[in-house]
Amino acid sequence: MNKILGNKTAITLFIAPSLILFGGIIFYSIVMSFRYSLLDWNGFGEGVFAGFGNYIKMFQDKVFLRSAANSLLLGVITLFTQLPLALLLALILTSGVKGEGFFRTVFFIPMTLSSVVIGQLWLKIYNPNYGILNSVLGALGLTSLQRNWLGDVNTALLSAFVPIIWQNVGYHMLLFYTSIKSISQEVVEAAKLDGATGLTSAFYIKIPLIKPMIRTCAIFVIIGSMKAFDMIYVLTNGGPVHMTEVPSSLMFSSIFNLNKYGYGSAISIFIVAECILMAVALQKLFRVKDSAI
Amino acid sequence: MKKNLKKAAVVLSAAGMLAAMAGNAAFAEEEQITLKISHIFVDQNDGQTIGWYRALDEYKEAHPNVTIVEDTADNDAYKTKLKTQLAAGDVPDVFYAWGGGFSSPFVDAGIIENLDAYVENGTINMDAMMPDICNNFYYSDSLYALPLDSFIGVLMCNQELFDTYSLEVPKTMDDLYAVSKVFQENGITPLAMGEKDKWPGLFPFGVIALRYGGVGTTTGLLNGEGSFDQEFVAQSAQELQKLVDEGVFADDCVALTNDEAIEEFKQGRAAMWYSGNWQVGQLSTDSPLAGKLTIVNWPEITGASGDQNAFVGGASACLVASATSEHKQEAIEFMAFMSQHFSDYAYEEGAILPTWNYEGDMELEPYQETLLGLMGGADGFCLAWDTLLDPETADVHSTSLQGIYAKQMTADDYVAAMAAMR
Repeated sequence: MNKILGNKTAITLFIAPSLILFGGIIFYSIVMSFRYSLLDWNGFGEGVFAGFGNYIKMFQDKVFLRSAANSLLLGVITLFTQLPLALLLALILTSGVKGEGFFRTVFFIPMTLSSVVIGQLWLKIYNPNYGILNSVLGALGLTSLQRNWLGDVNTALLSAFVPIIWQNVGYHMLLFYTSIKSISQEVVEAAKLDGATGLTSAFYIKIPLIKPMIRTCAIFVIIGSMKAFDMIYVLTNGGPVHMTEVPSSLMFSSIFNLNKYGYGSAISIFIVAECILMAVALQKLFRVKDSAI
Repeated sequence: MKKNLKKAAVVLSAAGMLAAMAGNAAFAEEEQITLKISHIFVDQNDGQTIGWYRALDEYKEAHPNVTIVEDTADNDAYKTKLKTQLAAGDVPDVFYAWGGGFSSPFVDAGIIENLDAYVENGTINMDAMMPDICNNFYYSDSLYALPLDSFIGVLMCNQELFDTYSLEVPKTMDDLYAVSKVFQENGITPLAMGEKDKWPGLFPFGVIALRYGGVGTTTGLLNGEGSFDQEFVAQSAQELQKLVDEGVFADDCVALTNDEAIEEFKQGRAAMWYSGNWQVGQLSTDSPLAGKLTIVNWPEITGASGDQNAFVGGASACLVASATSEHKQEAIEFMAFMSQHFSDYAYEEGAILPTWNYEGDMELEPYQETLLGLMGGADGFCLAWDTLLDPETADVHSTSLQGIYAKQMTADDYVAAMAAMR
């Protein structure tokens, strides 16, 4: 075995397929997008070289700045609502409640549905005329709270975030659940003998032991928010009046509705750079924290 | 039994091969060619799709040497796909497009074929077409596309609801405001609107602009003459804002898609709907509104100096041909054939208004008579603004109007945003 792993030809051979796929499909596209982002180009014919003009324009564009702020806000909100919620559910499920398997499946179901389906579902929930949300508010006598959730510029953004957060709770719960399950029973038993049950066990034994998973999930959540697209596209398509725009939706409409390939490519490069920077920064942050402990 | 079946199958297939060979021999002198076609006719129940395939089958029968390879996608997906394809240099021989601003970058980039020479050599017979139907397909005085359908924007009224509250279908804007009030008091949305999609909201604005500015002035402005900072533009935006403020549209109109708005209208929760005539056929024959539909033009604006009987409408959907096709002559012939026959057949299906002189002998449905009547007496036509403007200005236009519908922008904001573009 060691002989094979030490063999350079074998290594090349095994790495080649994924390297070719990665290089050809992902890396090449990013490089090409970067090239396009330097052009003033409508997608047809020849583009005119514009240097970093598109990037300068981008940071002066109010709609773009709002979209970037929206995605950051989504990241922060998701981090502080979705992950705690997922962790809570995972802790409850692993504490030996009845119907563990049943609830685990139920919580995971949203994850198995396509975003478009979930988007349609929430469109119906939010519908101002017959949606369940306004109906329930009406039945409770809270008519003053009833509104046009996705159409009102004050509520559209948060209303669009809720399904995104809701959709992925089950996914993170499952990750937490499996890593809690993989904690050695001996550790948990030993803690029990020392009198650590319930909350104490959760806070001093389980959560510290699944820290690596929490870290991974935090990175997933932040990166996921940076490139959020599908749900926004289905729910509001960036409207009303660009209030719910995120960088990806703006990139899409710049390229395909406005024929601004160069500008849209600049936004796509921004998204890539932002995701890489965030991932690196988060990893650094966690490392600093670790060494502090 | 099985053996016999097998034998029969062998004999049949042999016979089939012989027949096929004989068929090929007959057309051996003609070159076998393949034309790649992209279009949006995917909904098998749609009258336009039925019309398209009737025409296509006829073409195939008449041209056995031409193999047609179709590539289709639904409207929005089609636009995305087409632009990606063209950007990559993969141009279909003939493809579905829209006139005005949509195709103008294709013309500038030399992607689509100038048709002037084919009009001259008789491949395209302009005399068989409706007059002025190609107005939106000329770029620098050259023809680049052939029309597929034409439409007019009409106000569809649920006559049953009007009768219930003893109301008359509105003839002037004042009437419209008055009937809207009554409908509102009775919990009915006066005018259905699906402004989440943005384009539906351009229709009322478009027709109001014709009332204030007239067809000539509006068309000129959209084709690049002068600034948007004009009185009739401001008046139109103010009128639209008034419609929104008076509650003529539902408060939630920016949260509804066009399809959802149609449903509101169909189910009697909205009394009127203003849109292109595309759904008139289906609404008046196969919907809860069958037999209850009154179709009129948008109301007049008393005292306004534009064209009071002009329509939003005209021809926009079209076919264009690749400038780099290997079989240009055949592609243009195909295009002319399809344009003309689609016009006939989709019209017979009640899906479109004809773009070529109709010479069939079909009996017209009452709603078709109504539409033709409305068209006949018109002061003129002008497409919705987004079709004629360049994409960027069109986006500012439609987003700012969405702002008015959402009560987030005022008429002044709209004019300022447009004036900043030109």
